[in-house]
Amino acid sequence: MKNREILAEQLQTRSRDYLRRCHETLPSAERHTIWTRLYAASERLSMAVRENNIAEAVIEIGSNLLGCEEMAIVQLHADTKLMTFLAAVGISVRQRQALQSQFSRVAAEINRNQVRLVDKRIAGDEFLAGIGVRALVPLTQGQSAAGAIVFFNLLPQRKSFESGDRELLGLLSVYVGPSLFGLERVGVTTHEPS
Amino acid sequence: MRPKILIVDDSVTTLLLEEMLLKKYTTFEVVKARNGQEAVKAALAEQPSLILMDVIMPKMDGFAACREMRRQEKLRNVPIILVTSRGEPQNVEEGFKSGCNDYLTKPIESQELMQLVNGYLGVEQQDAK
Repeated sequence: MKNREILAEQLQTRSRDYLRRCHETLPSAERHTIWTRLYAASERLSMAVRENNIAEAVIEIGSNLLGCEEMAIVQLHADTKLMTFLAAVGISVRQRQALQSQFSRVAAEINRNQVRLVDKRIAGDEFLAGIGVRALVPLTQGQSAAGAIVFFNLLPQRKSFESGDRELLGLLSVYVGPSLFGLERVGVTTHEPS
Repeated sequence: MRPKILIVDDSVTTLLLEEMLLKKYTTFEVVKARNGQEAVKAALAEQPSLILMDVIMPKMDGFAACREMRRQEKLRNVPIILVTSRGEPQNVEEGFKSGCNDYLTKPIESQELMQLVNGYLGVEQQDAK
């Protein structure tokens, strides 16, 4: 309970900082939108940590702030080479199988421990691009990657993830893992693909 | 009494974002609702100057709420902006058929939202200052 409160407080501190930055920037500046989204995301995550519904908040942030309604939160089990879907929305059976059947390669990508904006033109991104992944956000437990948020297709109004999205994905990478895996066991939400 | 803007969304994230922008950059009071049913009730009770409303929501979606608001004499002329992740042409068309004045797609850009809001509230906001 104490750890949960500490994590929520860290997110609140972040959200206050992002809010200050919003107020110091004009809405016409591109950075303003980025600060605004970071503020809303950190505030929402802080609430979710306290309410123990982090997976639901991540799905909501994906849809509302990143324009992606095809995503999954997965947990890796290195001992059994199995992948658990902690939450998913909008993904097909094929997308799900693509992740599960290539456990070792997906795990290797997650273990690079970097937020990845996948670009099929870039060498090294071919595998993820080939299974339809558009962004990969590692989630850590302690020092090691324990899972990931996997983003597939974006909504039609968004062509691709942009550099400004990287900060928001980074925020998810830092705070979602500890909440899902690092604290006491948390509730699991599963949204069936639509 | 300060004039009001009603924001409607089942996503707490979007409500947080819209509320922050509107409180900072307008002089209006912000009133919130979480679905279409709540929105119709809140709009009748609060008489907002502008409504920002999501489309896909539980209980009553944004299209149905918009149609219901347009049936109400007191809300017939209140500007309604639908704010949604569904930006496909058929959805935009359905939005306008339901009686909305404008359509904004998520993810929300600060400047785009504020330009749209100020376009509808410009004169009233000057009066409120």
